Amino acid sequence: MEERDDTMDRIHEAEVAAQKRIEKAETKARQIRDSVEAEVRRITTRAEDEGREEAARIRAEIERQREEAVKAIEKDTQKRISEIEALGREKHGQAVETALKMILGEE
Amino acid sequence: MSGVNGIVEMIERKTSEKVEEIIKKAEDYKAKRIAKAEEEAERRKQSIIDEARREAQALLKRYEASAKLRAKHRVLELKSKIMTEVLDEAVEKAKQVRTQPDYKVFLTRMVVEGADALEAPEMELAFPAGQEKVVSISELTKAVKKSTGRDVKLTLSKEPVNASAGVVVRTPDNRRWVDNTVEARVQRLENQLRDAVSRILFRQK
Repeated sequence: MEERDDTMDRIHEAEVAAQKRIEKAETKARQIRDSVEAEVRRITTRAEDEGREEAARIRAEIERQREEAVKAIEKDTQKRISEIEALGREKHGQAVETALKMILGEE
Repeated sequence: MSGVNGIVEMIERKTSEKVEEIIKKAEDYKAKRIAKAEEEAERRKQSIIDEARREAQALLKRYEASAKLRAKHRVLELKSKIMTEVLDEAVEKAKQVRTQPDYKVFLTRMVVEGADALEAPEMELAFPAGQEKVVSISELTKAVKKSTGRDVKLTLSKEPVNASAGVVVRTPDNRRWVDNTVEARVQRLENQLRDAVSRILFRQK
């Protein structure tokens, strides 16, 4: 009878221990699941930061390209203006003479 | 006791399997969730970059278009300024034609041109005050006849025209006229003058 009780006790203890291990495992599993969302937020934040950093670099690069483009256009314009001024000076007399003749009905 | 040991061992083995399964499920969930989050994060990152690139390119195009437009305006303003200087000088010289020795030639040409356009048998001539003395009606009548082949009767208007030089030729009923004063001609010929001056000044070699 004593032996039978002892057997039951050992089985009971083993079951209790098993239940505790399972509960502990479930707690750990819950912690793992909970930690995932924090990790997801970190991943998302890091990616957004990297994206914004790259976006800032792109904007800076575009700003540089804009300055270059504006300089090139300015250079072309200045060249064109100089040509027009030179032509204007060279042809001024002829243009006045032609306009005068037209006004006076000479041509 | 060996039977009990077997049962206990079995309980422990089953427990170990269960524990392993619980943790494995959680780890699998974590791995899948992280993998999915990394994919989504990469897409989000790429989306931020793509959007910035699109915006930046659009901005660059706008800047370039704006700079080109400003440059075009500068060139047009310069051309307009040069043309205006030329036209102002020409108009000023034209107004001074009344002081030139050949002013009579100009007035005759303007009368003939006006008479030719009106094709009227009788016409009245209005000159700026005092300038009617430069010409004679008989000479003008002859000049019109010579140029158009028509006999016309020309008379001097009693009212002078308000202009620096030139003449207004009109029918006696004042219903038709040709304003050949310098000011009216400048106004009438403005587009042609600008075209001609522009061709001379800005034609590329």
